[in-house]
Amino acid sequence: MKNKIFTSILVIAGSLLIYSCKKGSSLDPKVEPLTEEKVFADSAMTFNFLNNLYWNTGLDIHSYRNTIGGATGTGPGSSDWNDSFETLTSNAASGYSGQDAFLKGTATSTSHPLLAMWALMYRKIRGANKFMANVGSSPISAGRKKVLTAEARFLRAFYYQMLTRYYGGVQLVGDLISDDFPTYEYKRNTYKECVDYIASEYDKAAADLPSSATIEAINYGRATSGACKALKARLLVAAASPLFNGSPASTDASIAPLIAYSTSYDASLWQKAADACKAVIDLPEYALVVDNSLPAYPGNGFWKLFTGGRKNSEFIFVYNLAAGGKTLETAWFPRSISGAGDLTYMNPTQNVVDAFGMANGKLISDGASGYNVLDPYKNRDPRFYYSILYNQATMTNRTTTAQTTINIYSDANNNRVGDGLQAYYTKTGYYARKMCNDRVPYTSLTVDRALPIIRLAEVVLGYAEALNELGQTEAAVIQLNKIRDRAGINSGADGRYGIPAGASKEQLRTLIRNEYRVEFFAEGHWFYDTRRWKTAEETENGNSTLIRAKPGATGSTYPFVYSIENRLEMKFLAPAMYFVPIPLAEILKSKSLLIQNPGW
Amino acid sequence: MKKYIKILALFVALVASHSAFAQVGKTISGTISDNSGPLPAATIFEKEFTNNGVSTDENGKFKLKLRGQQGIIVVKSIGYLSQEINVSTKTIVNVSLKEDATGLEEVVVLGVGQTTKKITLTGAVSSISGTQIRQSPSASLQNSLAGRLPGFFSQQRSGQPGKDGADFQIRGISTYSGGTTPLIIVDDVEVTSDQISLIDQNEVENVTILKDASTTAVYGVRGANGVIIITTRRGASGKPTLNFKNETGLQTPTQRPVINDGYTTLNLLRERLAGLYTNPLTSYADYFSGDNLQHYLTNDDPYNHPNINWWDEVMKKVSIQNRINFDISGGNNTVKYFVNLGYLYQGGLFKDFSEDQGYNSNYLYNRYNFRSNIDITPNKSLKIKIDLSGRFGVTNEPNDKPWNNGGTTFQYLWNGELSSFLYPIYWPNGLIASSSSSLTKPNPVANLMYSGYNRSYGNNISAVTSANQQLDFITPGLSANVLLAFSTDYSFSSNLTRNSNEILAYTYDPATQRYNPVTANLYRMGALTRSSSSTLTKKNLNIRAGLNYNRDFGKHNIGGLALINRTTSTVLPVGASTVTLLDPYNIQGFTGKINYAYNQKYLLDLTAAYNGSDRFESTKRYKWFPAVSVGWNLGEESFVKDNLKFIDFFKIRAAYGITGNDNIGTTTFAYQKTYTTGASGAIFGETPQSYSGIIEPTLGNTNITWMTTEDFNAGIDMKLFNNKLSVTVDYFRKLTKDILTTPGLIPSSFGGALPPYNLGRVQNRGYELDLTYRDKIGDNIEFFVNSNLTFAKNKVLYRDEPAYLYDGLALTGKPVSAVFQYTYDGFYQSLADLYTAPRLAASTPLSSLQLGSVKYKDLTGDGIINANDKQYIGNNNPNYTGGLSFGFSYKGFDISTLFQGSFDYIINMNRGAFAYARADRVSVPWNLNRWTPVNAENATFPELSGSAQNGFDGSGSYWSTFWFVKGDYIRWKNFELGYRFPSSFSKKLHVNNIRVYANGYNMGIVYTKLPTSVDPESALTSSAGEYPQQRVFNFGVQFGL
Repeated sequence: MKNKIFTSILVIAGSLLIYSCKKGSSLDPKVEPLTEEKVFADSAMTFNFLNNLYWNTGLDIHSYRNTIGGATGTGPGSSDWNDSFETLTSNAASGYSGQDAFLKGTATSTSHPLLAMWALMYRKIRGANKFMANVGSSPISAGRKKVLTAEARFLRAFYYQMLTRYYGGVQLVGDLISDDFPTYEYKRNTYKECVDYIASEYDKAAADLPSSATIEAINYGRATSGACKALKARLLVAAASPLFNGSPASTDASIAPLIAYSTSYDASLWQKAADACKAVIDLPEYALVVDNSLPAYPGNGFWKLFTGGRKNSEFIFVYNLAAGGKTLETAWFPRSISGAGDLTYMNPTQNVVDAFGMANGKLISDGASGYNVLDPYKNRDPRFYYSILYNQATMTNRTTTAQTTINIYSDANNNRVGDGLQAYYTKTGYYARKMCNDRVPYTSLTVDRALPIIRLAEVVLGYAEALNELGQTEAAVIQLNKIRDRAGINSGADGRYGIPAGASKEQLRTLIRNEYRVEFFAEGHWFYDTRRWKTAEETENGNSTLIRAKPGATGSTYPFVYSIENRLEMKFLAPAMYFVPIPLAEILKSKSLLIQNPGW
Repeated sequence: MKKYIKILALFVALVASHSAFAQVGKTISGTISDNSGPLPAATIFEKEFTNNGVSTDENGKFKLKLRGQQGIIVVKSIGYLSQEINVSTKTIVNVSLKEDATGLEEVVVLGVGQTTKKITLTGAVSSISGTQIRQSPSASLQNSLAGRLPGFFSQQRSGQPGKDGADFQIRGISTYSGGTTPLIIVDDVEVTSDQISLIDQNEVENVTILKDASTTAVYGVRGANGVIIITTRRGASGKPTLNFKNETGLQTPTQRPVINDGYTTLNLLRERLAGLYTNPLTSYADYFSGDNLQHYLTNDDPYNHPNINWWDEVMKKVSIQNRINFDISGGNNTVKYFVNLGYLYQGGLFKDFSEDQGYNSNYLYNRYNFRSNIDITPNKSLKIKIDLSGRFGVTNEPNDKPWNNGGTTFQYLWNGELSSFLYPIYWPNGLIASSSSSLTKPNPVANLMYSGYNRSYGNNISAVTSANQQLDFITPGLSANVLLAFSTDYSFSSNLTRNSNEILAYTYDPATQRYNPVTANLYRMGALTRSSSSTLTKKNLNIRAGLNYNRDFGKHNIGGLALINRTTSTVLPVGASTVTLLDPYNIQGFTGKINYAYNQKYLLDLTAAYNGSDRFESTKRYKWFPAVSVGWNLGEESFVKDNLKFIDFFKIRAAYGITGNDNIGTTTFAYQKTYTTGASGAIFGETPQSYSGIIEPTLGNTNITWMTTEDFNAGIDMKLFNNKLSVTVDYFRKLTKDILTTPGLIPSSFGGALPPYNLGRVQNRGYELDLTYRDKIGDNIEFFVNSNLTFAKNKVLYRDEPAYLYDGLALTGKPVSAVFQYTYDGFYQSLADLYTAPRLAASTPLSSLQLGSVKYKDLTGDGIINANDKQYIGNNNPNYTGGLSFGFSYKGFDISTLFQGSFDYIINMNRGAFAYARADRVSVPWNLNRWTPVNAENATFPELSGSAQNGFDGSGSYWSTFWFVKGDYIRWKNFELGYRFPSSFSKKLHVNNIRVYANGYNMGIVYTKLPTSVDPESALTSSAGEYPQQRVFNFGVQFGL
């Protein structure tokens, strides 16, 4: 008996021992890793690798930035990302505290809301490098490989351009793909090196990419040669602008080259910019979307542009949204339209409302404009009515096609009426409807939509700006009026769309800059524009204002009395806020070789 | 624990060589006694045939028929020195046993089948008996250990029925990433830390904690955080013994949060509004216009001007806890058994609002335990154990989150989000009141009454079979054993839900005199819907086989152990996001141990474990964990024995070893670089088509491996003054290396996601002191006093951090749970102060910064307060923990009590209502002593209008030492008062014995400096949803049948 037991114990122990020691034992991996080789040995996976690189391209224009990766990293709170980029400017108010804190000038190099961008963009740049290095081994036709490589090259340039817009000059890492930790010194390239590199990369990519006329319908949304040229135009217009050309944020010799293309003013940069813009304008595949055929809808092209399908002749590079959605409408419409469940994001401020001129093309500050402060929403630039929901604005009902009036006012006791001033819905007395389809009942609304990352209007305005800076004022007026004509502004008897004859360079500059603000409201441009012009110290400083409407006394001429109140006191700290601080942790890692932007 | 003497005695009996002559078939009888009389339940067995044994009856008498030829019997009883008696010439044997006061035979259980005598132990070990554990009526086993065991740190965060188990560590924390929970072994089988709270205390024989490398090295890779060994009760030979126990406890919160009444809160609100330059009449006309405020003061219109303390309205005064246990044990020469059945019920604190709805939505916990431990001894050299046990728990919670948009009722109570003046509970016609205003959360009564429940079930079964075969025919002292343990966990939940927008509650419109449903157009209550899900299936299989050796050669004792073990855990997770963390996990290894003792005086132990895990790349899979320990029983030396007569026992010992921690805090296969499919992609095409993405994953680190701890321990054990005073002192130093750390110095421009590396180092040092004094006064009164104190302090030595702008911000050099915040520097007391003292860059005096706001120290001296002015202000884990217990017994009475405390840590008071975050909802007494111009000198709370600056906004941006205060506390943890009826009385009731007792858990906080009614063991920063800690006052009666 005892021998039997002993023997069995020995057998069990022995077999365990043998089992444990032999190779291929229970400790060997149970899962097969999906290695780099496997990914790039499969054409679908190779494509998917590239697809992910497109994912973050819409950060400037998406209404919920965190859904496209904005919140990766440590911002002041991930919910701050759940709103448009525009809320970091004087144009719009956000319900989140991070944006307000930023506008108040309290951001630091550890709390800035755009801190995460540094790592995120480099993550994408590495992805593009990985792709370019490995696509060669994939089972894809040589012709397609060439296009895909050019797409990755375009995306790498695109993300570098985003980095330069935030930070100025950044480190160019070339084609680095090694998995070994880098041994290079961690320091920045000059702004000029970055711009020249990005421009030449766009040129290279453009040579291999199809144009928007030749790209297959199935690939709409991928990079085109036109996108390369347009983004290059944007790059060169920025490089020619005051902040980067002649009046850098810091004159410190160790910093200035990192944040300026030329420390002294160089007019030839404007010529380069003008040439780049012209090159795009001359492309046959692009044209402004103009529709001035409907008397009820002056400037209807400006509305159709965003709501008439995902493709049109003006969009150059887009961020495609899924079919049948109503992302923007859900985010922005008042709750009487969108329903009580959703909060409202990005409320336009009084600041941006005041920037919208009149239908006759004059600014409201112009004595000849006909602007009546007691009836402020009358006879405004048609784009105003396509961009802003104000008290007593009309739009299609939530459920039926009937027109409804949006009530945004307070009663005598300051209680809100309808969609009036309130936390979480409108903090400003306005709602946004830019790019929204407000002509179909909300509940039955589906919009086939792409968000424009860059569209022809920007290049036309850029061309106007460059020509004006080069002293060709009248040539600039012609370009500017292309935009104003599409907007539905009255051409006037003189056909000058409200621009006085013989306007000076300075007068036109003011109009052009205002045109940018109005044309691109809610598209994520104002943040960069006010910085490159160095005007942020005025526009992004002081009060961010709201409007409070109350019913007027019985029998008064105007049914509502409007008062403008301060929402928030913005503080633009120069020179710091011209650039995003490089995350402090990165500076510290570099043993201070990485030079921080001025003021941080 | 002394029952293990039996097991040891079996070995001893078998080890001795034998050469005596036949006495076969002779019957001997006699009486066993100690110095106070006959000794019942003493064991007498034949040395040659250890399974031929009997126990004495109540009068100490026994009768035993001998089967062997040696004629030697062994007499044993717990707490007494065992004796061997040669009965070759006798038939009547009367034996008087001596008490084992020095604990010479006391056995320490070290797990994996090892035991050792306390006298030859060279490691740091503490233990507590099941009897002491049962003095605490807490439902979770680990809650009974606080204050009892030196080296045991615990923090009980919640009192929720079924979830009140404390978090615990042995000797504090030694790593900043990965697990800090000790390995828990129940009867040789590993269980998770959640399961320890499910164990029925009535099953427990003993709990031992192993604290240093000499005892934990056998566990190799899982030993670094210490080991908790729980042994369960087993049967003894003799008549069946039945015990029946019934306990009823009353639970109340240890502290009931105190809040201000509505009128007081409204006055504070008015003051706050004034501070914000707002007109209270326009912003809150309902409260401040006309004579509204007067109504709140006089409370003469309770429907339109209510004053509700929601804590009082939703909570009962007491809730019930019931515990019933039935156990039976006994056996004969070949089979012994212990069977326990247990039932525990813990009621919830809320009133039973849903009673009339046909279901129970209150918090509650039901637990059923069973255990059957069977020992079979088919012949004298083979022992088989078959243990089967199960734990079935049901935890019930109100399904109150949907109605509250995601928060529980307790969360809103703590946060002060239930306004005391906005709506009454019911309207005069009986309809439930509520509000659609954003000022407050909806009526919690409606919520608890109508929104259903969440019920989770946990079923947990384990079976352990083991066999031990003596191999004396090979060489005396050798034995072999195998063990197979299987346990399974299955949990699922069932829920009853009524949608938040389908619960009828009403607002009252005085203008129209109508009651309107809060949800527009809702006129009848929605339906309850049922849902269920299985949440987890887990299987754990452990196989072990080994050889044991233990033999005396004259004065030399040599022991050894060699074993192979393998554990396979399989988890079927439900949430896909955690799959990689819960993948099947295999670990296997060899363990060897050699111990040598000379004359029980000079002791040497060598241990080594060689462990492998499938979490690592093949060349990094195995690792050695060796340990060496030595001991010297100085007390046995003649120079001590002869000269220092007051010393009865004196041992010094030291141990050094390397242990591991396999809970390294990363995904299972972190060494591989596996591309991630299904990542975000893009949409292309004029007819949109969605494409998914693939991303480069976190880079692989093929060198990834375990973290290891170098563990040094030195200690002294002493017994003095006729064993009345026992002293144990230990010093320890742990150096944990290879802590997984993401490299901190790699540029982000590299672009890759960095894997963790084995980089970090943490040092943890401390000491423990344990003193026990036991004595008698006269013949009848016995008493004891025990005090223990543990100090453990850790420090991060390295964690690959970049340099900081200011050295004070570095985590390196600080404790693992270091808190970095601003330093409170009083309140701004004058306008001059406001304009000249350092302040936040964004603050404007008299606009966003007021007199009486919290002022911070400008540590960098740059005149601006920013994040660089933060510094290390303390640590959330207590550095000191200790307990003091004492008690005495007199005839049938016994009484004992325990105080427990933790010291030297900080806790954040900035939570919920206490931070005045809900000005229009609830305020607390602390807020009343706010800064005002007249109260400037004595204020203990900042002025009320500040938000971020004062830390009211909850963002944590401006927390400081104003909010982080010392959490030091002393708690009256336990007491027990019992009375055992005289046997003459019990006999009349036809039972063997009756004991009645009352005991209590968490009786109160004796010392705390916290300014509010927050429990000092609460979590660091937030009490959102915390179930109040429970005081349990318990009455029990126990019958022995």
